[in-house]
Amino acid sequence: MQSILRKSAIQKILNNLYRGVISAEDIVSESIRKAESIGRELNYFLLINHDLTYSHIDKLNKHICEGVFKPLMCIPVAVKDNIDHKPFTTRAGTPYLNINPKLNAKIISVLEDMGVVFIGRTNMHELAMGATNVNPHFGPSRNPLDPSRITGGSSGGSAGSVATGITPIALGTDTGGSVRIPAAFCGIVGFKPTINRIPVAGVLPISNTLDHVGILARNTEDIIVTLNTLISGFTESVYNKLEDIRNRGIRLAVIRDFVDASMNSVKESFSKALDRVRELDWKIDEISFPDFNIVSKVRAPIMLGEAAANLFDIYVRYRDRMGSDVRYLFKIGLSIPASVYVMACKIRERWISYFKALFDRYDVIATPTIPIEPPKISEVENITTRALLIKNTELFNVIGTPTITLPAPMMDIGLPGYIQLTASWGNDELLLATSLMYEEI
Amino acid sequence: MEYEFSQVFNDALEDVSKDVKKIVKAIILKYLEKDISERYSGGG
Repeated sequence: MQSILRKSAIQKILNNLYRGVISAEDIVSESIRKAESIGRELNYFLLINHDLTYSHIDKLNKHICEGVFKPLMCIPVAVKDNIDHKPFTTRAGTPYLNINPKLNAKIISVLEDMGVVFIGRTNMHELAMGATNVNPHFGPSRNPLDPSRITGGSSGGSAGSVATGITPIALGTDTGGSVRIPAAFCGIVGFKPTINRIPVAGVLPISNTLDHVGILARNTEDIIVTLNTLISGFTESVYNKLEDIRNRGIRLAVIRDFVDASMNSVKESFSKALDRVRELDWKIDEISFPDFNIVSKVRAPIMLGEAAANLFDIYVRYRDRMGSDVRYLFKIGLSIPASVYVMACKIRERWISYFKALFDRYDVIATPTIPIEPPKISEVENITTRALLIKNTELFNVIGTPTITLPAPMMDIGLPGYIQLTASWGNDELLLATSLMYEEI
Repeated sequence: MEYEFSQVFNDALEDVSKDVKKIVKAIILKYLEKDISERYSGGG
């Protein structure tokens, strides 16, 4: 496997560890040092995990001495604050929640067994109910490429941790774009799998039908390596798909409504990304999604109605301490009639049928990940800006397809652009193979 | 407690009714776009 993993930051760390060039302590100390310096400066961590980390090193050193090597041995990982991880309290970016989990989230248990070292819990949009990561209680996480701008969220601290090299991978959650938006703004890769492919048990629930666990990394290979620990034979399946698409090419559909509604700089970057894939002889068509402008209205009752029910006691107890944006969303969720929730779910079924038909003709669908450039921290009070952040991502939570964001050529403002790719349900391997091919250009 | 819960809902609706009306209207219009036979098919 080492021979095919050319870009993987994880593989580089493991190679150096196995060759004795670096020790477990070197890896973890360096990660903690960065978390304490740039991580603090840009506000990516709510908790840095010193005690567990150093006790963990002793255990890992013992394994290494005994010749026991695990697939993610000593790999530093950052975890979003809404994912259960004993013995830490789950606070979901709030000062008022103090949940002591009885069990670890599934992904935490698996990664722990694989030898990772959890460096800390990351800053996030309060309760994961927003995409700015401007947290009224702990402050905003700042974009590593331009600290006057937002990271985006709600997994903003996780994206920052990866983008600044504190950890090669981080865990996030995605209910409307919360992995993909900060990954895009921070110039890294963010992936949400097909809904429920990574179990959401152990994540503070917002929406039963929209929540996803996702992975952020600097390249697709590291996402594949991580998923391989959860899904047996995953890496092999992806590379088989890669061989297949290299032989037969990709049928790509661009949804023009998403492109037309984007800022010029985003559009230009996206267009340059498409020019690159044309060199690979991908067959590219333009298509339309006629309901593009109503997506946020259909998602609202589903997401906010489910959130208001799931977190009702939290709202009742702590509403006076919540940020005004989050409180407002709860109020909408509490006020949506049940009949409208059901109608929204039925519209979702129609969209799923629409996309099923599209995926008979296309392997992958592409859009810009976000229609705007990363806003300045001072600009996100504006409700229109906040709505635009999720405009291109939320549809793929509503229909539950595997979706990834990848960096695209630079925009005028000197920050990387972004392209979002989505494939049919269960075709995560095909999507990641396509991403590998895109990154090869 | 009963009073508090009803107050929670009343306060919420009072503050967001304009936005909720917009959402409700948009969804109903979209839902009704389909022919009645398609909306009622598949029932038991």
